[in-house]
Amino acid sequence: MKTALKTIYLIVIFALLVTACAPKPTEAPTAAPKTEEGKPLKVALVLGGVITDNGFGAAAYRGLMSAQEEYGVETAYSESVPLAEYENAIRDYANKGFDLIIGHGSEFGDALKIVSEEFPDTYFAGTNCFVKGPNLAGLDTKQEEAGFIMGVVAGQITKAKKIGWVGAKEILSMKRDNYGFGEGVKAVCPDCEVMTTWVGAFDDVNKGKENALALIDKGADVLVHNADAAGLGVLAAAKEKNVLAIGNVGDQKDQAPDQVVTSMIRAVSPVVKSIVGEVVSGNFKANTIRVYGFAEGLYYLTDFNTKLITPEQIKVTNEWIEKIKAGQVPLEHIVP
Amino acid sequence: MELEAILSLFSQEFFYSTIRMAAPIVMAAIGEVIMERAGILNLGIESMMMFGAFFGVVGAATFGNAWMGMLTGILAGAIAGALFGFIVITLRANQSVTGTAFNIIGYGLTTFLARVFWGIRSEPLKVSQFVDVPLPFLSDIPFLGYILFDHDPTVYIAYIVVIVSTIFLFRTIWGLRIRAIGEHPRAAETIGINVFRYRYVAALIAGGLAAFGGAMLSLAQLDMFVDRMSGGRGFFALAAVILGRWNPIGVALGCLLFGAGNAVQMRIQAFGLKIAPDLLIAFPFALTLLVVIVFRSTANPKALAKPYEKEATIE
Repeated sequence: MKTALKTIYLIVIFALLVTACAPKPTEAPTAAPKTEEGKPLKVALVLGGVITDNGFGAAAYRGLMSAQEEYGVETAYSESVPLAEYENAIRDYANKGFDLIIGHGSEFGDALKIVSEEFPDTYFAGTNCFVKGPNLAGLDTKQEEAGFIMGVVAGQITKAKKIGWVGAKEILSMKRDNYGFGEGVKAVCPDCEVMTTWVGAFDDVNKGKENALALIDKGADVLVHNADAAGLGVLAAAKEKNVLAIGNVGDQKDQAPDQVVTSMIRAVSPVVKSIVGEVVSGNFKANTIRVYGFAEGLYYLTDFNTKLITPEQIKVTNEWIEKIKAGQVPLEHIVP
Repeated sequence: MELEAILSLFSQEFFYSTIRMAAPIVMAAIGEVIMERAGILNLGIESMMMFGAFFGVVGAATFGNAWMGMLTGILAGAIAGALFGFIVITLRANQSVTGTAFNIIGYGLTTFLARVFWGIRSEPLKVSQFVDVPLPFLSDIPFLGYILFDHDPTVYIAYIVVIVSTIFLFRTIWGLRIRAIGEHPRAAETIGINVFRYRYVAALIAGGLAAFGGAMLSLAQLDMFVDRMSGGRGFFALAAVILGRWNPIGVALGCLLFGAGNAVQMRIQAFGLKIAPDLLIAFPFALTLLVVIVFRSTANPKALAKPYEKEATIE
């Protein structure tokens, strides 16, 4: 009996500890100026992952922070929300009087659609989502454009004509990036080979490194990744074996200063900022899926490491960027 | 696939990669062998790897030295092991529940502490790392020399741990006592063995070894801590214990099988065959499951996961 009681006590204590560790809405400190009505606009971000993933989640967090700086909105975010809790997390923020709630990732589509119908006076947005409504904005980011330009860079700097591409999981946004990458390589180097491997995880940085080392073993002399934290492992492999690499999502030159040629910035910031801007100014475009790409400032390359790439190659890259912006590159627009 | 292509899968790098991927899991799994041999099921091994990975980086950042980082990590793991021991040995709580709770806390606490220590950064903090030390003469052996003896020092320590733990468990009086406690603690106590003391020692060793494995991930293979970086290796260590039939050498072979499965699936992916990548990623896990089913074993310590109540009150 005593033993049973003790066990129960322990389970209760652990349950409490575990709940204490569970993701909670985190109110970011902010000095919010008032909107016209006199109350600060409140923006919430809901993520399936974390803001320290060195990738997708981190980019959204940076976007939220820059919107806070620019428009002085009040912000909050929830991390590691499990799929089954998406609806509740979004509804929770709507009930608390948030004006704009952003779900980060294609998997938020259904939950946003359902809750947006319950709260007609609240605005909702979903990144990489293909849903729309009177108060709901789908934000389609053209991953294939980013992939294409990375392919243009990689296709020019490879000497072995073998390029390794490491992705986290075979999800739509990463497949679009991978498809665009292949097209970009073909555009500048038709006989180059792209070898693709998937880690199967976003946060297994050691496995990301092993994938990259396997690709180097198979002859790749340029590495490209789209794998969030696991991508850090890819850059670690590039550094260890001294092969060229391209950073992704953020500026990653510090990970391997002598190997990273450039980084593809995926600034979710302009997306989050523009949608916040629409709500702040009262010009919310109803029933539209907004499309973002190079032309909208979503993507851009960081300064090239000129020791690793020639001015001629940079020129070619910039020409392709201009063509992409002008819509002259026929890329398949993959949507679910 | 042509024969040549198939053979190219098994390059020197393939074997090297196999050993590197297996080594951290070997450390954690051998700790688990000692603990289970003493009759305690430690499902919380993943959390102890996380503590090792995290506190290893904390130590390396504080002291500016990978070895000090490793020691800090081991200490943190041993403390976690002792706490686990206190809960399941002295308080006799359910071992599965306690282990699961440890894992949830392990992920949550390290993520939380990383943000407290280093803030929300765009890139993780870089610390000093173990470097590869080719062993003199041994690394000159053709083909095998590079595969076995051109690693960082932690891998050599793993070789030593496999041998020493085998001798410890099967050739020393302490090993015999630990095994006796895992089979029949009451009988062991009757002949004067202090069951609690041996179980605590086993818990300390297991926590320390699991943390060593975790710190290998963050300090030997990389030079940074990333949230949830152990990526389920602790759970595989649990499977490896069964696969290796509670025998350190068998466990090491099980881990090598898993490492080889992973190394080969990554290389097959690179061929660009029309096989769903998810199937290939699952291959090492499926392979393990298959081996466990084919070579079924009932060799588990008979008192495993059963809380023990002391009978003797006077020592």
